[in-house]
Amino acid sequence: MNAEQFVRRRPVYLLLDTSGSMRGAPIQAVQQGVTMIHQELLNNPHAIETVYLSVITFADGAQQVAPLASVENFNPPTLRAEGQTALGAAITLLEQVMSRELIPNTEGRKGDYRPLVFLLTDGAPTDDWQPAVARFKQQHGNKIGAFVALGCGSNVNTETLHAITNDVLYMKDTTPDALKQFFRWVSSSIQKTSQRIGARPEESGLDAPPLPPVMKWDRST
Amino acid sequence: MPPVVHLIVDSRGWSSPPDLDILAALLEARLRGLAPLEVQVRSLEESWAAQLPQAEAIALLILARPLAQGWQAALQAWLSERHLLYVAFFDGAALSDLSQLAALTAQQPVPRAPYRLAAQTSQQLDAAFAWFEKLLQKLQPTFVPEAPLPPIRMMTTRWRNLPSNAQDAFAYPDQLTRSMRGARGYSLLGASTRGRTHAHHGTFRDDAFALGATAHWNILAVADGAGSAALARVGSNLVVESAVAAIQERAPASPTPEDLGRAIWTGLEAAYQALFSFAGAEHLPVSDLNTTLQLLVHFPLDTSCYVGVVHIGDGLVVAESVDGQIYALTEPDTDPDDDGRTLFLTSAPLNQWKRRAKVYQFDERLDIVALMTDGLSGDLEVRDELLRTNLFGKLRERVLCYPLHLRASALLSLISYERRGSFDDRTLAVLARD
Repeated sequence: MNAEQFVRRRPVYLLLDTSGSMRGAPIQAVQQGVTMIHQELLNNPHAIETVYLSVITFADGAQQVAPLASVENFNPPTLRAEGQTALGAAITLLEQVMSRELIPNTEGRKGDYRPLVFLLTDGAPTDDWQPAVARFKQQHGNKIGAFVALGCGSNVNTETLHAITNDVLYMKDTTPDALKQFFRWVSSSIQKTSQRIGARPEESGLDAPPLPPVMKWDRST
Repeated sequence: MPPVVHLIVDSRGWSSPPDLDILAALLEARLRGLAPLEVQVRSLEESWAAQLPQAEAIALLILARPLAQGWQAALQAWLSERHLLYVAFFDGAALSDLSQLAALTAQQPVPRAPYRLAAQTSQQLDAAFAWFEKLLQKLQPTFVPEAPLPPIRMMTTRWRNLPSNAQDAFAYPDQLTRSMRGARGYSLLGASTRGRTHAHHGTFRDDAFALGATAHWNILAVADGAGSAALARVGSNLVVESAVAAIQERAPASPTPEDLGRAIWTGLEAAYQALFSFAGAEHLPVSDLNTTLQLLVHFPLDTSCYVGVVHIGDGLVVAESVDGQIYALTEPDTDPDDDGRTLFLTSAPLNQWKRRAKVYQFDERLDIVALMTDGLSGDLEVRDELLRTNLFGKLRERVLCYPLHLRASALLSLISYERRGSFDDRTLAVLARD
């Protein structure tokens, strides 16, 4: 019954701000966070079989520093913080990467599960982001499992983030502790979602444990 | 093997207690550019010097208060080419401790005087770690490893297989097989097995099936309890058993094709009723019993047959005729873009499902009819030519070739394959011409 071995993947994209303002403890906390997510997923047999991870960083431009890979084959990239906050370039790259990497449904065969996207930024975009967001939404808007944006620090522009997604979290500062909690939450969200593939839920989207106490749903808008 | 870096933090005298994990993370991030170094962190205890590790190690001691007496001898015994110690301190540390530490470590490679931390801030700590990184860089030639270790691969061996609790008030076996003779030269069989998610957590199989027959009819039901429902297994078992029992009980002695539609309605009503009665008696919300249902009544005649069928939720109901024609008997409720969505028996009023019931007339006999839950159909590519080989062909080759009493266990082994990304319970009920 099992002749055709196609595996449905749960793609997870991490979009990480590596602009100069993240230098020091924040970028190290982000680095640790990515490593922690990877370690935790390696300990979860559901995630090992289904989750595929990719990292896109953005500063002066955007770069896919880790292509979509299974948890076993994923290598956490080394992050360096310098430059501007080219959020638009990151969204454009995400759009291209998703078009290239994701396997769509075809007749009789189901493609990948809907991807999860986690965006982390501590500043206002320094490039022309609106057209990129519009194109992304047009291309992939209805095929996303969840898109969570975390804005941290006082320079972040939550209106920009709300233009990208409804799921916006806001953190007042970029302490390592707060970032660590964010990554913990991301990790458990991914694990929950990967497990639900088997348990066949009745609703789509992200089913995550309650947010950690330092995080607040942004009510500024 | 490069040495392990031991971070020993004096937790006394901080304005707020330090989070050791975060300190270790900061240090690890600092040292990332060097050879792969493992960082271990612990809090300073009175007997810290005696507890220093035997394996090759570099210790970084962060002092905040005077040390308890009696550490000098143990430290002196420990220090060697393979055991290095560096010290950073806040102003609360004792000068006498610091000068003795400096004297004891003065002979080690890359000696350094204790590093003063002016304040308890992350910037200061990071500066101390940068200082430590620089001196490690000088030490580095002594511990560059030859080649990176191969990455550790973790495969399905990490899956646990925990039995479900047989003492539970609503216990069901982790596997189930059944077979029986049916009406007019047909036999019925079914197998159901627990998926890896449930096995990993020691929880119950939520799938169920039931088989039945009258003098004229063959009856099959398959159900998949919702993973999110607390008593999904009870719901799925209730609906298949009550539906099949009700149809058997009320089957007319000499049925007409029209009776098939009524039979499906009878089964639906009984299933629906069973859920609400149980929920009422146990004071549960009926959603705790959420389940799908596939119900099929087969009425074979000499050269033709009728099939009454209803299908709520996901899964698959397919048939192959004697001539090799393949029929998809139902349209499963699945969102083509996301199989995260399906429907349950109690998602809509009974009348909506009654309207969905179908009765088909076939001018040929059906050879095999298969009802399955999505744990199986999700692994199948639902295309005629693939169903022919992957489903019906395999059923003939690996199950139906055996005498009846062996078929159910053969069916169980057919559905007990391992497959990456396939975690769900699997259930297959089969009606086959002898």
